[in-house]
Order: sequence, then C-alpha cells, then structure tokens
Amino acid sequence: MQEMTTARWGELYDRAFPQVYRALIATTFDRERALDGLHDAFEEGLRNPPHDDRNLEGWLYRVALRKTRRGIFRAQREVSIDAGSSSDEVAAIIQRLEVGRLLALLTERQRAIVVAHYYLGLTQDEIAEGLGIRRGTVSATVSQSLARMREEGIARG
Amino acid sequence: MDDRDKGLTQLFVRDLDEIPLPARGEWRRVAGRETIAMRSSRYLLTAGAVLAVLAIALIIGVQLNQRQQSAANPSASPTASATASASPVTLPGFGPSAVPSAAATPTATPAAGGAVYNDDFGFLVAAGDVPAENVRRESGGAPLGTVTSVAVAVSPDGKQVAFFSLQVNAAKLQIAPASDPNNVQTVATLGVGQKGTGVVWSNDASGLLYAVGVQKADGTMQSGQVHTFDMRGTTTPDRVIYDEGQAGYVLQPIAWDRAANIAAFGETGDGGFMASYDVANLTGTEAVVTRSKVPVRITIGSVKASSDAKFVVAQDLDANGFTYWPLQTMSGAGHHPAESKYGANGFAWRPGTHEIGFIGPSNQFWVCDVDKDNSLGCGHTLFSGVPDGANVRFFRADGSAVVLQQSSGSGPGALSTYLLVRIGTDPKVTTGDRVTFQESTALLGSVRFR
Repeated sequence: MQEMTTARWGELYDRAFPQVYRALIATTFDRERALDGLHDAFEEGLRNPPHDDRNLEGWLYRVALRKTRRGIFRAQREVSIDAGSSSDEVAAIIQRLEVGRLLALLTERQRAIVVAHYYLGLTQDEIAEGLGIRRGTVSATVSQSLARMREEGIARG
Repeated sequence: MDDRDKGLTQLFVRDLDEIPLPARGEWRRVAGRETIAMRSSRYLLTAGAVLAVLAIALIIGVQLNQRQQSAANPSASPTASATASASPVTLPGFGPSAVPSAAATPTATPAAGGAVYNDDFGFLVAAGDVPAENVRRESGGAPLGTVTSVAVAVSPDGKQVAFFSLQVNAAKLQIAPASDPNNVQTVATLGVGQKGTGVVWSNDASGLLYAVGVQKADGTMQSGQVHTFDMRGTTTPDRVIYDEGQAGYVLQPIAWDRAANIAAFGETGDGGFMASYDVANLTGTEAVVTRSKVPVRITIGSVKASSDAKFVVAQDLDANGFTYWPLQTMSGAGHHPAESKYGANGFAWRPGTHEIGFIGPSNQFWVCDVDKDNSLGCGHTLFSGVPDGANVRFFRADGSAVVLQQSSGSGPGALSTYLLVRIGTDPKVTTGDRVTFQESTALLGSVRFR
C-alpha cells in the first residue's frame, strides 16, 4: 500500500467528498453540520490517516458522523444563531426527493444506518464496527426503518 | 441482499446523487472560518468570562465583608484572579498554503520541442498506484483533472472519457469531457454486487459497451454480463446483451459498430488468455451472440479495435507478432501480415485509419494498412531513427503524432522516457519533429480538448 502523504490524503479526500457529503446531508439534514463533520474528518485524516483506503467513503462517513454527533447540541444552538441558515435550502432539497421524504420519517440514528447501508454500500458488520453498536442493533434498525417507511405507504415494496 | 434491497439501493443512489455539492472552495475548512465547535467554544469562553467576572465581584464582595467584619485578621484574605481568552484553533501545517490539492505535482519534464507538442491534445497519465488517471496537456503543466477508475476508455474522437466509479456498491458508469475531467456525468448505475470490468465507446460515440462482474459475498466474481448503453435518449437505454460469463473469467468489451449493429467482446479462459471471441448481433429484440474459440494465444489486454470499429488487432503470442481480423468474424485470426513479427515491441491503431503502427526493421517506424494487405505485406515506413528498445504506446487522438516509450524506469520514483513524434500528413518527418520527455508514471492514452 502506498504511503499516506498529505498530498495523497487530500487527493483521496476530494474523490470521496461528493458521496460522503451527500450521505451526511441525508443523515443530518443540515448542511453546516455535514460540512463541519467532513472538515473535522479531513483534519483527523491528516493527523491519523486510515490504515486502508479501500473504503475511504465509509471511513470518512463514520468519522464525520461521530464529529457531527458530538456537535448535535451545539448545532441546535447554531440554527437559531445563524441568520440565513442553509437549513431551509436543505429541507427543500430533501422534500423534493422521494428518498428524502422517506428519510424524514426516521430518526437521525435510523437515517445514519439506513444511508450507510443503502447509499454508501456498507455492510451491517462495517456499520456496527464503525458506529460502535452491535450488529443485531444495525439489523433491527434497518428492519424498523423499512417498516416505518412502509407504514406510510410510500416505500417501494 | 434481496430484490427489495436492490431497489432501495438504486433509489437511494438515484435520489441522493441529486443533492448539489458545495463549491470546491468549501470542501475543506477555510482558514479563519469558524466551525460550529469553534463558535461554541467562543460562546462557552464568553460565558466563562462573565461567570469569572461575577465570581471576582462575589469574591471582592466577600473580602470587603470579611475586612469589615474582621479587620484584625488581614492575612486571612483570599485572592482570586481569572482570565478568559479565546485563541484561534490552528492545526499544524494546515492553512490555505498547506491545504493539499487534488492537482498532483506535474511529473512531465518536457524537453525543448514546443513545435511538436500540441496542446489541443493531452495525455492520460496513471496517478501512481492509486486507481486513477490524470489528464494533462501534451506540453505538461498541472493536471486538468483526475479520473478515478480502474477502467477508462477514450471516445473515438478523443474528446470524452468513460469509466466506472470506485464505489463498493452501486458503482456508476460515468463520462466526462477530456477537457474537464471533473465534470462527471453519470449515465448508468450498476446493480448491487456488480463491478465494472471494462468499457469501450461505440464507433460514433453515441453509446457505451461495457462489462460487469457479479460479485459473490467473498468479493470474487461469480459471473459476468455485457451491456450496451445507448446515450441517444432512448427509453430503455441499458440492454444486457450477454449474461453467461463464467465464474472467475473476465469479459472484455472490444468494440461496438452502431452502423452494422454488432458488438464484440472477449472472454478469458485458463491462463488469462482470450478463450472466446464473441460477436453480438444487435438487430433484433434479443441479441444473438456467436462465440468463437480463439485458435491462438492472445492476451486479452492487447486486443484493440480500430476507431471505426471495423477491425480488431491483438498480440499473438504464438507467432510473436500481431494478428488482425474484421470485427464481425475471427475466422482470419492466426493470419499475420508479413510485418507482424516486428510488432513484438508494441503496436497501435492510428485513429481515423486502418493503419497499425509498429516498429519495423532497421529501427524504423512502420504502419500496416490492413486495407492494403496482400501477400507482399501491408507496411511502409513513416520515419526512421527509433531508439533501440523503444515500444509503441499510442497515437495522438487525431493520428498526427505517435508516442513511443524509449526507456522505462525501475523502482519507486524512477522516470520513464517517452518520445513524441509528429507525423502530420507528410509521412516524411524530419528528426526535428520529435521531442523526448519524462514521466514517473505510465502514459496511457491521448485525449483531445478541441
């Protein structure tokens, strides 16, 4: 495996950014938190790069999500502090997308797992390891999420 | 993963890829921009400072009260100090000047010879051992962009590239202009568990012929499919034309002649050689595939079609030369033009022609026009003075120049020397119409910007 230099890390990050950013938007519904989480993950990668770049999207998503979760309380403060927040813009995008409307039925924790599985293609084991939860919890959350979406009669069966 | 899961994955990818991206300048933290955490820290520090002031006031009040109440015991007075200062968070080596850029350091070291370079064209250059390729101008300079893929195909006119994204799941078949490789457009999303193994453009650049492998749970390929994708706006653009790829073997798209409505692809067999040459007749609703056993040992990676998809050429290891055949049938495989034995040092189709370029006798660069092949041979010399040991890499996208690899470096950081020779319309080029330059990674192909 090639040595992880700063330049190489930057290159890999840029490639992974679009997919991970969209996954974070779909999870947090918050552009600021998504960007902050990714920025923090980028800096984390500069300090402690991942050992393996084969699933960099998964690594960035997990780290960014962890960072954004630490900032959930702070972020809630920010919504009211920041005039002209981007939350309306994100809400409009989410509302326009069929998947966005489905995700809106779920809690953020459920969204984190569902997006990781169906959009980033992470296995349930990878999600469990990355988010620090049991595999059974991941499986149950996915099932509950799908059931919740089906309850609304708009999920694809 | 059941069908419902596959459907959901496709729905997620389709929809979430619609979410607009922020401007590139926002992808990394801009120096001086406060993060949520930093802003929160500032609020906490401010709150702390207010509390500290209140605490000081309280302490002073207590002191005054104590002094008033016990003036005979001054040594017992407590002291307190509190300061609050918010220092900006600065990461070591992180700031506008230290932010790594996706644009890699140019590796080309062009020698004098600006007259030979034509910056209407550029090169695809391997990006180290990362599965990606940079696109840069012929004369060098910073890459115009990077294509992240293990399989990149240049359109017949050289102006577009097609490739697969590297997602673990639901990878995408994408295209981008060669002049703006980061301006990626997704044309198809692969199914769950599928992995792109190869792609080529149709001869009129209106479609893509691509192959996918279906992965088993352990990551190995279970089977393979070949698809056509019509980019002319039809209602069902994606069509599976072959789905009987065998486990462990690779399907390699070769060419798609849209006028003739036929597509060709190869299948590897034992030893990695091309075991079967398959031609799909696409005229009817169902593609009719004719499989032909390959009579000679051919490495599948050497199989290339002419830009108009009329002919195919490949390295015949048994004959130590190249062999060519018309797209629609391989019955002529094993037949070699008289000059083919010289093709051991590489060969390439000259775009827009039926000429195969190769290094012939006496260090001369030859082309074999297969339309003029007869018992006397098909070759003629284009120029002489080819360095010993040079290999043919590829022609410029319009056929007006050829790239030879003069020497290859070995070991990390070693440079390879390439030779760019302008051919033009006059086959008698002078020695002044060439330039050498060096690369630390492999040159993979030529693209056209205008």
